[in-house]
Amino acid sequence: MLWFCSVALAVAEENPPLSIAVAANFAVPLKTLLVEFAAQTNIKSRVTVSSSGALYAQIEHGAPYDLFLSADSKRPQALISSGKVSAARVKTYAVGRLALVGEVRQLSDPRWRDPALRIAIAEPEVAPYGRAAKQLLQKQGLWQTLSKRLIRGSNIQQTLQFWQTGNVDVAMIAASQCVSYALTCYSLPADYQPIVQQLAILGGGQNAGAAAQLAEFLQSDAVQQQLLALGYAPLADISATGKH
Amino acid sequence: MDLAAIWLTLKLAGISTLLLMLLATPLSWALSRWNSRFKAVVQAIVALPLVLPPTVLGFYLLLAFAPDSPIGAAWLAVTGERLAFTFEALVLGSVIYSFPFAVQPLYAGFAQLHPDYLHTARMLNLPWYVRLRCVVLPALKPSLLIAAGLSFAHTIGEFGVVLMIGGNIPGETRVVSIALFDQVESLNYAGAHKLAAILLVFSLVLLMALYWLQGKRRLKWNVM
Repeated sequence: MLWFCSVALAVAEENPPLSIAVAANFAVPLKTLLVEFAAQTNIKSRVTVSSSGALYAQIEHGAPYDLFLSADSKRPQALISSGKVSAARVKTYAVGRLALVGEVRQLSDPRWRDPALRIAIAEPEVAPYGRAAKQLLQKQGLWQTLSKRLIRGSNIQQTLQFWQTGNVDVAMIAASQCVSYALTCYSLPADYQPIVQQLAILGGGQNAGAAAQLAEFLQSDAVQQQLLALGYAPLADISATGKH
Repeated sequence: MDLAAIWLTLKLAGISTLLLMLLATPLSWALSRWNSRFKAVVQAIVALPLVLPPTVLGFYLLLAFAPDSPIGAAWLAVTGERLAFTFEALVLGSVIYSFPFAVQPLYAGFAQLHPDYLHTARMLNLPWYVRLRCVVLPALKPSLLIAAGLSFAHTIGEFGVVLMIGGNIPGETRVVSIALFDQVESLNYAGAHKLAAILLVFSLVLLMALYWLQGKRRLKWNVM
């Protein structure tokens, strides 16, 4: 009996795994990177995937995540404004890129104006990749014609799902998804505000150190180099143009 | 205020309720008079939308609506348009999703309708439409109202299915629950609270009316 109690105590004393909340577009790259991180540091982690908005709402109301990897900078910045984290604990870890998947290969194709062409983007009001898609279509002079019939996914993952299930002809998705799901994608001009993805180190608990360690790992040159191959743009792209 | 979304939601709930009543009434009648060991199978299939997670139901509807599936292909052949992300797709999804809410009160109503009344009416040589209008409908009125009310209320609150098959197109498929979700996701909590309050008050009034009706008629009624 005593032996059993001491074993139970020993288990309880061990650190709980690092709890990470991640936006959908970064979920697959993160999985790959965490294998490497665990091998280097022996830190175990547990990942929750959802939309940045949903995760933000949970964090605002006390969800016990140690690290929040958002798809944008708006939510981490909102966490600073509401006093949940200090500004020093919010960092940029990736810059997203848009890509095109489907029948049409470029924006100059006249078929964009064909009412029968079914196009999906992420909802611009909600998803950072959707906002970028809207800005790009505006720059191309296509937004006016298209906005009424664009099919909007609630996040970038659903936008891809619309295309994968054969319900749209073309979708504007994250370039990282093209790599994650081995899709044949076409590149798009970066005619939109950079999709700055920021992280926030939460919680002052036992895992705060481990969370900071992972944040540093993600920002390291080695990981940033890998992210280029995983569909992200170099961080240097935005540090040149200042803060967003 | 998102008036387009509110109007769209009411239109969706109204049309779906009408279709549900047209489909569920004959089916419930037939079910209540049917005795077979396969009856439990049919009842279970009708009740499935109660237990299936709406997003799962929605995902399979999305697959079914694709142009390369039989349903999607048939729709494309008849209308010349694709089914997913249209108002018609939402109506179809809502009818499936709210089906048990229409069938169950009607089934209970028909089960309580004593065959003697119908026998007597038939012996009086009343034509079928008089039997329907003067015997069946008055006896079924509370069940019909409750079935319609529940179908309507349930469609108003529908979220998961619409999220999967709607595509969030303003004026076409962006209903109140989706607009509300967008407000929350974009951190516009003030707008979200306003829409949620409307949805809450409307649903509360509708359900109160239904329960008041139920109490008045002393009708045995199980939602589940």
